[in-house]
Amino acid sequence: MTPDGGGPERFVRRPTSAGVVLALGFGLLATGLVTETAIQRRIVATTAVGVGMVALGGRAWLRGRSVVALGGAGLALCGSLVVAVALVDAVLRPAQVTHRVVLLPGLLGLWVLAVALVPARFRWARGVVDAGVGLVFLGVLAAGFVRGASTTALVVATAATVLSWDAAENAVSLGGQVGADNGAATARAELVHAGAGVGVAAVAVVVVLGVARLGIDGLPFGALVALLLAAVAFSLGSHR
Amino acid sequence: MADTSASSSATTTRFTGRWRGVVAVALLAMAVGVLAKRPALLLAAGIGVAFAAYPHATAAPDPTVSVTRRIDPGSPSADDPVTVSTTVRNEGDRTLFDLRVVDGVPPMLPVRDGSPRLATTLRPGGEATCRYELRARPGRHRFGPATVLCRDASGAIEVQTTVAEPDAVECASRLPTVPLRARSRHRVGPLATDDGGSGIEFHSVDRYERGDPASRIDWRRFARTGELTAVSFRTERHADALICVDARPEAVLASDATEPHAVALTADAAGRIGDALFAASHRVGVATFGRSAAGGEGGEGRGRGDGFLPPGSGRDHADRFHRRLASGTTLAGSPPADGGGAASDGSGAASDGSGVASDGSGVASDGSGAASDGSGAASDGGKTSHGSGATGGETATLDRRLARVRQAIGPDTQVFLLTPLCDDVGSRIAQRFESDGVPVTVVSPDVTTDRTPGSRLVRIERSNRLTTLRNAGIPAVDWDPAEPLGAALAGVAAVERWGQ
Repeated sequence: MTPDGGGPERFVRRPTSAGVVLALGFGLLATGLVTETAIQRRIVATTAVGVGMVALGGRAWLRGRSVVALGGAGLALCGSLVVAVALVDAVLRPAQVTHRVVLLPGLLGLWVLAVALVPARFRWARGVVDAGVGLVFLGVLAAGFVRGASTTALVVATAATVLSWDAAENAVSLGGQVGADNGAATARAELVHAGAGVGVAAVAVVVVLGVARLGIDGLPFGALVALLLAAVAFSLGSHR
Repeated sequence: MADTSASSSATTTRFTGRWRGVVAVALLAMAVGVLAKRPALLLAAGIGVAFAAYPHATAAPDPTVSVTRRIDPGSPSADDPVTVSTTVRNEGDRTLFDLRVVDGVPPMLPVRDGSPRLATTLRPGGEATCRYELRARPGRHRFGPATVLCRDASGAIEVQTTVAEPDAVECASRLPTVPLRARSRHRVGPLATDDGGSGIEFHSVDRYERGDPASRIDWRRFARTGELTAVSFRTERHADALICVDARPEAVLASDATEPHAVALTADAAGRIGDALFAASHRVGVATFGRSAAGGEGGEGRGRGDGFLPPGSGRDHADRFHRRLASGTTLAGSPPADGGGAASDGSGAASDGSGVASDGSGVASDGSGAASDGSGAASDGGKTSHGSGATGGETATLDRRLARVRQAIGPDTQVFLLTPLCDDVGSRIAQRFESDGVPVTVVSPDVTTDRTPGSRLVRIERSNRLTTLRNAGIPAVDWDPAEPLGAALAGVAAVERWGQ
């Protein structure tokens, strides 16, 4: 919903800058954590540069006038090219197929996330954010599936994925209600929001890894699943 | 200048449900983990479960905030910049993690610089300020209540409330003249009529008849011709005026995202015309055609309840007049806006899907600068088809309402109709009144543009409606909001006098 103050103002709805930076940072962390080889890391670093260019250029394109906008569009295009190069690298360079499978959805997801936060249409932003973070999560799942990462890395990467989505969604929500332009300062609220999220994530990671240390390997697999299902049902019980 | 109040009202609490999707993440990780027998993925699912539980760990926030405004200068002259600093203070004893405030900028004053919105985190007793600049326009402009949205740390619960703060920007504006139409009731007042009698302005010379006051006998003529004649003067009378405001959602149109929309303009003009008429000790009433005009019976009842005030005079009545006008022209809590801050100029485009295809392309070509620009124009176009295709039911509702207003006002009341004339309903109201024998003067703010083919079409249609009204003998004031209202009214007053 859009609260409205009434007075006419040029109010441009756009995800907030701080949220964009946070979301992309967490997303990169998630993708980076599930890599194993130096080649993979280099590809992720290339993608980071490209995604940064897309985000920066896209914002300049939307905000600026003529020259700045043109420069921004050019930068965003170059960034997309860099991401494309990274994608091609990810397909060709890693020695093992599993390494490619782990990397591809994550890189694509990061690019989609960067595009989502520089939306051509604000109304689509949420859907595209979900798609981008979903792809990043798919990469994390793939890593888990092919045993491509340690348990700790996998758990932390999942937490980072959720935090990335949280920051992105919050940026979209703030951008819709408060706006990202004209000096409407939102960074403080966003940092506090992300900080609270990180706190929850840290506690969750510690608890989950603590459970892992308890030696659940001895536990029947079915029992573990039942426990988790019970936890999900419990949290759905009084759904918000 | 600055005073505080913390009167919060109409608090709504809603669940954003933003963490609902994380359960899917947990279940997906779990499913993959189970199918592939990967305990690590089950542990990762545990993270999802933790976040699904996160919103339950936080309590609903209780935003107790006060709003203080510093307005500098408080009494600007027209077109002067006015700097407003709105400070929000957490008066409660708990930290507000995610506080979003949208200040209630007066609907008539465009924001030139800065933003009347802010988002922050406030500790108990903490303050945050947003600073923005308005451009002053003539009239007295009240600040609306500031909208306060407060979310808990997880963002799952959102509490919305408003904080009223009675500030105003005063910008001198007296309307010099209001063109009244010649008919009125038989009470002495400042409206010059065509009837002969006692007064100031010369009207005619008649044969003296028994009973005429002796002071009116033209003694010089009697001395010259021996004929007894009596001079009569234009009788000056009071008028009963009913100011009708077209505040239908269809009339919420703006020429630009930063300009006030037509309902704000007409409400402002109505207030000033009312003031000018009260000052000339006429009797004034108000009727607003709001949400109800096109709505159902229930809405209509409510519209009648708060939107109609029969003509009257006196200070109390003037206060009532302004209150009714304000309540009748204020848009409901959250306006149908979708396209941006300019209260709902996107509403038409979003709400009635009958927008013309050519307007759609207009938006696309226009969308480079500000997306909401185009939506204003598009809703213009949407209105057109909407208006011309008005259903019989809508017309019947309007007729019933008009009949009721007609019954409630006296036989000698004249009507000022304020409408942007962006669809046929406005001109239909005027013609209905006129054909019932009620003299109508139409005052129409021009909110059309020539940016897109669609909006040019609307502009032509509007000027056609103006011409139709004038041909029907209804004085119609075409008011360009950039010009002073007084000048536009004076122009019609001159034509009226000349026409007689």
